[in-house]
Amino acid sequence: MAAAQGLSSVEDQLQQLGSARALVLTDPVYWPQVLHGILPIVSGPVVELRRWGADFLAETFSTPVVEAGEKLKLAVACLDTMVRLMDERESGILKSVVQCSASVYPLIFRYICNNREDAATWKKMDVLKSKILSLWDTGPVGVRLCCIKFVQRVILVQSRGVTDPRLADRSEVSLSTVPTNHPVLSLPALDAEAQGLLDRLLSVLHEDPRQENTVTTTTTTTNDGESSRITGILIINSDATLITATLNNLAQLVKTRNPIAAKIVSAVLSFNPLAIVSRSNTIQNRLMMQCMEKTVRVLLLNIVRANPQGPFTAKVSQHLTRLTRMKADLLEELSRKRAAPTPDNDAVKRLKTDQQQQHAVVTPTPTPPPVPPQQQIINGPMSYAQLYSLSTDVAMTSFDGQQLPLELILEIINRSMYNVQQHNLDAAISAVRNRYAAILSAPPPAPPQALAQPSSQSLSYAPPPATTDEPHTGPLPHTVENKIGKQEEEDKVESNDEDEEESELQLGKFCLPPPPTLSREDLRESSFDAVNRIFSVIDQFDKTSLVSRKSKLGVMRLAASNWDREGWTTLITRLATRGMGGIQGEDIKSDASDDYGGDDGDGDDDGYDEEEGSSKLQKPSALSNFIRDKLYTCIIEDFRGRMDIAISWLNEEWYNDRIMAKAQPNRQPQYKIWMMKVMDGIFPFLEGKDRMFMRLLSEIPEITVELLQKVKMLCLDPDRAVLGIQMLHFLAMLRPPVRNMCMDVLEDLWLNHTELRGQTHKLILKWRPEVLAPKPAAPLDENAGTPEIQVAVSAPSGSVNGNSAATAIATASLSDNTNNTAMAT
Amino acid sequence: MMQIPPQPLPTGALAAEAAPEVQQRHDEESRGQNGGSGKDFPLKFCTVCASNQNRSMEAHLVLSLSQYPVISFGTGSAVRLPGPSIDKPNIYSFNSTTYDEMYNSLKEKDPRLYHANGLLGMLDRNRRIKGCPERWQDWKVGVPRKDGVEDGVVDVVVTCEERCWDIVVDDLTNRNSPLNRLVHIINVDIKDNHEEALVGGKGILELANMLSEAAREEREKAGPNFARETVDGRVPEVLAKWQERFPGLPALWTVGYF
Repeated sequence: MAAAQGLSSVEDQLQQLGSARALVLTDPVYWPQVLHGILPIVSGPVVELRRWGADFLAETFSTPVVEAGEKLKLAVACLDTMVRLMDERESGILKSVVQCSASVYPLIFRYICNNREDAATWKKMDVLKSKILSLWDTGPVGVRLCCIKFVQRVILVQSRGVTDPRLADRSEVSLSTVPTNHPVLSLPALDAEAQGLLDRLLSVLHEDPRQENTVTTTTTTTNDGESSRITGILIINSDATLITATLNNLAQLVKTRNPIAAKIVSAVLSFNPLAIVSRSNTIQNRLMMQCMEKTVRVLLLNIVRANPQGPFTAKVSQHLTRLTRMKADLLEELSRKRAAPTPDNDAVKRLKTDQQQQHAVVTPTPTPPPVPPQQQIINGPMSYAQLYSLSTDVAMTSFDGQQLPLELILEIINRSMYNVQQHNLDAAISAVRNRYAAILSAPPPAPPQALAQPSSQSLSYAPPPATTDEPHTGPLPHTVENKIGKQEEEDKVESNDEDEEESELQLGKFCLPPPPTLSREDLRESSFDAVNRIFSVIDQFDKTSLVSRKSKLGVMRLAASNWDREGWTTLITRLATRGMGGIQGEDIKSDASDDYGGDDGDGDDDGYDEEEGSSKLQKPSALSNFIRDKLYTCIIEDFRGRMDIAISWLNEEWYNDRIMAKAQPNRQPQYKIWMMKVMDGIFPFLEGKDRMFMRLLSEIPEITVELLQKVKMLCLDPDRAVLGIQMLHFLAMLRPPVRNMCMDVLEDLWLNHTELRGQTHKLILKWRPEVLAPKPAAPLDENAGTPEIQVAVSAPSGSVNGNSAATAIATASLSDNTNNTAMAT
Repeated sequence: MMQIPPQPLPTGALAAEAAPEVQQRHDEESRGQNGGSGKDFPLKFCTVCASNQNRSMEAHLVLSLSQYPVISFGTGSAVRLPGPSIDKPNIYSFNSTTYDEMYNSLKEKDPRLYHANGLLGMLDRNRRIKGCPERWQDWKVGVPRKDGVEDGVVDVVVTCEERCWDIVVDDLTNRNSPLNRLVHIINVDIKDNHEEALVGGKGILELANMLSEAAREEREKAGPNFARETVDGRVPEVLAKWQERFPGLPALWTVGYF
């Protein structure tokens, strides 16, 4: 067709070829015809036509619209042309021919399998193959990428595919296609070639020694840095290109060529896509790192997804996790590195600011001028600001530091104290000291009135409290600490007013006036106020549920480390217990008689405060008792919601008792008093559904017989009997030290309250079966037992020793338990 | 699915007048630097997003206005457009429901809402570009097409979201590259809203320009061993340069095969 018109211009020919192509694209039937027509001109002298022809060849064997059988026929016809085109030096043409060869290779292979005698065609293919393989390492990148594809096709063809004939794809070409005893195709040779090509293909994934070379040359030839950097980048570039191209060719090999799959996967797993950045950390290398990492990821996931039960799944997922972590670490490290030094940048910036400063005629600290003389002359009376400022910058000296927020100033001071050079600081201090000495020695040249007037205005003068009345002194002597500097200065100013001869800057002996002494009542009032405020704060947190209040930190938790409800609770409970430990002693003598303790001891207290009157036990301070009472009220108000407060408070009390027992042996233990008081407050309001109460019972540090008696009373209330027995059951089961105490109660219930036997039977059977066993004289036993038990239960609620003694007397069978009667902690 | 901002945005109005705008932009571009270049040495592009509606179509528009041969696809299972609430999207099928049908259906449902959120404007723009959204997975690579890419293959696939890139690379792997033809798959991460689509479209156009420029340079080159090289080896360098200029559009790239 087009070839026939040899005389027409190249443009015309190209145009005609273009329309021929348009024709086959719309109607592929003409494709073989057109291809045969163009073969002569592809071999012709006009390079433009050869370019076009190469592209058309590639397209012919790529396109899905031409049938495979047709392509096979065309392939044999085109081989000569392709071999010729492989001698071209234009990348575009080579690319097309190699792409074309990749498509043609399986076709020719199959053709040879079926046409044993056609050695000539195979020979041509072999030539074509060797030409391509020689370009694989030396050609331009675009061509090498096509070579990679070609090599993948060769490996696919020359390795064993699916062994199961039922699964084999008929259209697929592999070593299995080769008939036995083929005169041209030698199975071992083909297989070996494929293995060799595979090794070469995978070699790009291994550390490339050339990389090291380029890096070393880059580092050694620093004077010629620019050019070596460029070559380095080019090599790294092509590597990223070749590596991703290789990776994207591997999935098919792994999935369809079982024998070589393991080798490929292990090569991919040993490939480190992150290494490129460690060679040189440029934006491009970081980008390439991401690209390669992502390509590896997609490839591995594709392989695993194709066969989730396959041998690589575990290894691959492990590798991907590791890769993610390594990448995250690397990126973090890079961002840290990038953040730290960019020395030239910094230098430039510093230079700039330096220049600016010089422009503004600032003489910074290095060698401060001893005394700016003109300043002293111009305004003789010196303010503190003037005294201390070493800068001669007008802007700096006129700047009012008080405008800045205190936090910012502290921050600035902190930072600069860390950064200041010691000798600079020394120089500055001595400079100020000299100034100060100079001013003190020189009499003020200006009349003092002129000075005192403006300064007293500017400083919002407040009379020192020592000389004036004290209506403004609240619970805290406010402002005094904050304004020491000012006071000092004001003091000075005032003394100037009085004594004009004295230097206005003389500090003299100033002592802070003592805060007004608070009366005992005031003191108590304000302490109570403070405590009340803490309680109101705790109340504000009261909305959340008990569960969500639980700290998640476990043992790492520090008490009161953050100001939440728990923190405040800890604070207030410790304030009540240990907090007042030190001042307890002094309070006893003065306060105990008349103050809070006295009012408190009304009515119901007497039961457990019985030692109060008789002994010389130390009583707690008024304030701690006040807090305790507040805690008690707080808990009783809503014992279901504030059970946690009760638990932490009672634990604190118990702990404090233990601590104080060593330091002050005659101190009155508080735990039992308040524990019983709380229980007394709660028990009447318990309902059958209050199973949460068991938590309180299980978490308080010490359970006494008295408490269990209360539980017993609960068991006798038909409404709450279940709860009471559950409590005993729970304690007996999970708090072994009190088990016997609980069993005593249960035994008592068993013996004396037959209506509860249905519920107690199981428990008695479990822990005290001997009660059930002997029944020779049941009524007698019962009669005999009852008073004894009652002795036990109605034992005076005195000291622990007395209690256990009473129990010991009660029954012989219980005697071995008495040692445990005391406490479970 | 696209994230449409709650308030009506100027983009909606802008896109609503896509037709005159298309013409205007067309005129500008034909005078500009790409006037001849696109035709002279056209790399062929393919833009891909989830629904082939917002990001890929904006990029499709700007690339085609610069004379680049371009086609576009979506990787989702269906075309999903925002509905009256987050759980009531409008779902259409790929390859069969035309942009025009979608436009009419939404206009019928709630013209105010869909005008306000810019959907109608977007669909109006899209129906002037091509017939219906196409699904990437259904694309028969290499089968001749009637639009700008007659031979049905492209040189560069630009995805607009990392997930789409993953799907495209994975899909190409599963296709086993029957064409043996090289293709660069580049992701340009663009958020799915009208504003970002505009920004992303500009970025993609610039990338196309830079790649074409590099391709032209390489082709002019006459090295001692090989002449008229191709852009393939330059892609990492071009991409890195581009990334420095567009740090807000994170890039990803791999060399794949059709």
